[in-house]
Amino acid sequence: MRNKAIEYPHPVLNEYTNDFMECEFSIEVANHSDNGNSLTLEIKCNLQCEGIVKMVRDGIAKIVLRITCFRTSYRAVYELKLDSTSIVNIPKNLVTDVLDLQAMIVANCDYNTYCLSEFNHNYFGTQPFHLSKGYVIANEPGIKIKLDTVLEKEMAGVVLIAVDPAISTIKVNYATIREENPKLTNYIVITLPDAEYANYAKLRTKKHLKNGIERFLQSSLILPAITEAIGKLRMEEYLIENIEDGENEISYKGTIWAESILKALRDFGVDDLSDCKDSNFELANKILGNVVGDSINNLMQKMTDWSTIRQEDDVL
Amino acid sequence: MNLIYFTKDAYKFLKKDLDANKNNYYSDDPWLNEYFARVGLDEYYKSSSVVVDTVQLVHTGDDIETKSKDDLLNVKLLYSAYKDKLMPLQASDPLLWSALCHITFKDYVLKRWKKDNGEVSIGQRFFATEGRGSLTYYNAISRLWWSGYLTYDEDRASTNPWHLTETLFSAQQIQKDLFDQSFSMNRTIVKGLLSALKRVQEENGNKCTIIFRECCDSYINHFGAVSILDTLSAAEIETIAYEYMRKLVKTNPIN
Repeated sequence: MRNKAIEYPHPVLNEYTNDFMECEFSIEVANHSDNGNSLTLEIKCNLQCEGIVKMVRDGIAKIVLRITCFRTSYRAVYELKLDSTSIVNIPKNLVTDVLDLQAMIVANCDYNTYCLSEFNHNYFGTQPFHLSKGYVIANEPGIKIKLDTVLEKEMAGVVLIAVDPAISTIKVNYATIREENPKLTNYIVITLPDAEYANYAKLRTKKHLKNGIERFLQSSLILPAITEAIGKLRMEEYLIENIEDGENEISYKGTIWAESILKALRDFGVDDLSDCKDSNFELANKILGNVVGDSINNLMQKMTDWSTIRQEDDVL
Repeated sequence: MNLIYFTKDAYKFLKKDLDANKNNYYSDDPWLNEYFARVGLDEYYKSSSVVVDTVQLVHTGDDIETKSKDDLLNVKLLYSAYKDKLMPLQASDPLLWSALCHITFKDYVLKRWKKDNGEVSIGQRFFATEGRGSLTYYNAISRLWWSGYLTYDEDRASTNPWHLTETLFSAQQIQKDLFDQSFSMNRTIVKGLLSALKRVQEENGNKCTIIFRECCDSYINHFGAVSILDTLSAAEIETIAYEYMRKLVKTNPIN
């Protein structure tokens, strides 16, 4: 929500007032990503006001980021660093739709001698002000981030990537409607060992790595998972048609992952898997928007960028 | 039982035909299957993978005091059953609560929300929307879960985690006055305010709804304009609110 101009009883640094001379406070969302069970925001602060910088370093003030999701009644405050990027992790199951981000600098304690050389002395002279704990010292306009965390996920989103330091090989779980572990309900969960997950996270989040590589990662992880998922749904349809009621114990239909895949297949004209001649792999590639083609092309582009190999001269 | 939710199409149809279906809501005969068959919808609700214990909500009387006591008990029953199974993301889905009102808890909704003329505000009580107001105090069932979620005190899980909920439902107006404010999305702030109210109620021997409304509506809102309440602890907020309400009581003893 954009901060509106408010009349404060003390000088506040923001874009609406002239309380401060030649000073600035703003934030930048350097990156936001969606990994496993959390949303990760990388926030960078820009503060140009030596007086307030000193207050923060002395512990009299602190920089905070308030994140609000009106839809899920989520409202929480995170402390931000002054000199480096702050990482904020928000559990995905607490938010949806749109996040409001608002950064502020607030008094960390009661402070009776709030008087900075950067004040606009035409307004305030050398008047010191009292600050109570929590009083706003600076704020910025605010940012909105739209999420695609919805109950029915787009295709890549029905597969969650998680980490378990206790395992040494990859594990995959396809939730059934009877799933009781709350970490595994509703989705396909690929659990990676520590080392692989660390590299996966870097490939997803680091600027110098992630551009042009997302489709390749989907091809490596998501495509095989969706291929196997379609196989399981085909089997379930077969069992439903050929086994008597009560004897079929497999039950994927009703989970978010199964319903989302079946809906995507219907959008491609596949209403009945048992009648469809395409293979599981072909169907998975289709509903992932030809991820095979994209990932081969992306890989080629990356290799061309990195390597010094030139194309052979046709004349030679 | 598996929690159910309406399909989007089913919700839209029901909303559109609310007036035409009005009498059906009061009938003992099930009508949804026939209605949806008529409008051409084969499947109007789905079962989610969330399994919860069956809950029997209570309704023991129509006077205000009894309604508040029943609401408190129902919050405890429903939130306890759904607490570790439902997250805010799922609980913000109007399709879930609308289905529960229409199918699972229909009788309770009709009894609890019957007005003096025998009618129920069907649009408000049976349906939920994505708006906070609808989820936290208008929809008959989602208000129970959200009241539990915003007031259940984990820090007192072994003694009385419902102490704030008890204050919330000490009078019907308190829930609305508190949840009307955007700061009530922060559970720390809710804890501070309800703790302050409880102290004032105990000192004054009455519900103090008017001074609580004034505290939330004007004082805390204005305070929150120059100060970021979210950076204060529950105890600090309790002190601020308590001192303000105590001053109001002194200047205006009859509340």
